[in-house]
Amino acid sequence: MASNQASIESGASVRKGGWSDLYLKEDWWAIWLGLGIVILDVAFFSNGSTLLKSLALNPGGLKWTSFDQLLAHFANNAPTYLMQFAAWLVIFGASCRIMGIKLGEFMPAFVFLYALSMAMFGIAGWANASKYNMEAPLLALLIGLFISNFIGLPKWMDAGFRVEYFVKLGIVLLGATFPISLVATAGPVAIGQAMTISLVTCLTIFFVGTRVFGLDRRMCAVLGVGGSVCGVSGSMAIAASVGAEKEHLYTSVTLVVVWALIMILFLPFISQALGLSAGVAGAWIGTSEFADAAGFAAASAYGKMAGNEEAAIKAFTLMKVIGRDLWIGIWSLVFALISTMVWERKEIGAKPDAGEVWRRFPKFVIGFFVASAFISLMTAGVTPEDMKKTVKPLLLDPLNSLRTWAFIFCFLSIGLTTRFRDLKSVGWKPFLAFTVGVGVNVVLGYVLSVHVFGEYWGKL
Amino acid sequence: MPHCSQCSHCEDDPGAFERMVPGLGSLSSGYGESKGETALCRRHNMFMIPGPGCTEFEARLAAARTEAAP
Repeated sequence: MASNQASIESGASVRKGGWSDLYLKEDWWAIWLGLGIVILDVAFFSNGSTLLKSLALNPGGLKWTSFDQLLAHFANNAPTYLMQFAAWLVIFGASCRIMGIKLGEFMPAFVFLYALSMAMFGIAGWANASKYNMEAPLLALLIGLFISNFIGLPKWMDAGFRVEYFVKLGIVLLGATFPISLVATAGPVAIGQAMTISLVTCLTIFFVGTRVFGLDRRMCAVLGVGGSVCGVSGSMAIAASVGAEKEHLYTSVTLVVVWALIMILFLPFISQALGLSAGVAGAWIGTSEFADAAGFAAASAYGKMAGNEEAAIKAFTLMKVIGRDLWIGIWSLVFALISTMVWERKEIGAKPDAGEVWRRFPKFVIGFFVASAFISLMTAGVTPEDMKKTVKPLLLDPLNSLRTWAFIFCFLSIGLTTRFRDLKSVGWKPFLAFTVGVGVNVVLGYVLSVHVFGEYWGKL
Repeated sequence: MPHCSQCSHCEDDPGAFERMVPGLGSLSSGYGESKGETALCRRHNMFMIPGPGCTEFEARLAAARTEAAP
């Protein structure tokens, strides 16, 4: 009993969050690291130094035709890769340690992840890789899934496979190559399209689940937001808002993971079969995929297949990150109010308040906007000729390469952390309710991306 | 006033959250802002945002104080 008393009167902080989020949340770390790299890049560029450009090396664009070429590349650049590895290890290791992740678990896992990433880049750098659709994102995902499900890795290694952290850093770095004028002009279209689809999909899942299958409305709310706004993160936020049970979240996470993986593997090939332009496909994937990490894998893969990765990634980012992710806090607050005032849920925990909108806000998006505005300002007035000769190769390409590294860490980590045998089984009723929503999401997303706003997305 | 976050049934540790929900770390994270203050009340099997403790917690706390009193 004494230990129980110690536990309940431990003096633990009553309200978490606040300023400590600045060093305890990976959203903020993605901002610090991403903007730090951007500032360093600008500083090196201004001083005429090519240090960061050298460090941002990756073998993905090698186009090697013989194995000797690949080996020679690694032999010639071994010191550079060693320095690059050390830099990643230090910045990720230190930040993860501060967030509370055990360094003894993170470091060996990251060593493995870096080595595997190098192998993925090496394979994707083969001159004939694209002929066999061996695009780095899909390859990384499939090999990661194979290792985790058929070979098996100790679970403690998940500490180094930080899917969300890597994708958030990649998004902040992406902001640096994303003109702020594009965000301003395309943002409203993306928000309009994304809101339409999110509302329709969420309501479809909710009403099919409650009215047709008679499922618990809290579960349907979790499934609805998970399937329409922000996948696992959305499910987790709504679970707290409506007082969902553990099984409700388990069900939603399983369905989101399984459907997200199916769509990563199929949407690029369906887009290819339909002959969609990279921008249109990116917008469609942005409305169809639930999770940022999964969507970037699909958009990046199709962009490479279509020969215009930038357009696919830009359209996806506008649709998913700006159009959908920003609203997670609002959805959370709305469902909290509904569950408290209409459903009369059992009163446990805090009452809903408007601060929830900010607390759930995906802060890394701020880093994306700041990086975009900063580089847009720095390059304003640069002539197209200077842009091509100097600014792109010396200022923007290193950021692109580092972003590619962050994304490959992310895509591999998705596969390495997804163990199908560990996912909780779900009943056929939640499965059907969610699947109907997925169908509506994909079809409506296609109609809006291709037929309503197709001309617009095609110009990206 | 007791608070859920002081209760032994309240689970809000990001690492524990990732281990508790299979698949959570595959496409999301316990360390992200979207988790917010989400916690699981193991006593009521309910996700929540920690707030003023429930009546059971208050009673447990009072009993523990009484027992500890000289």
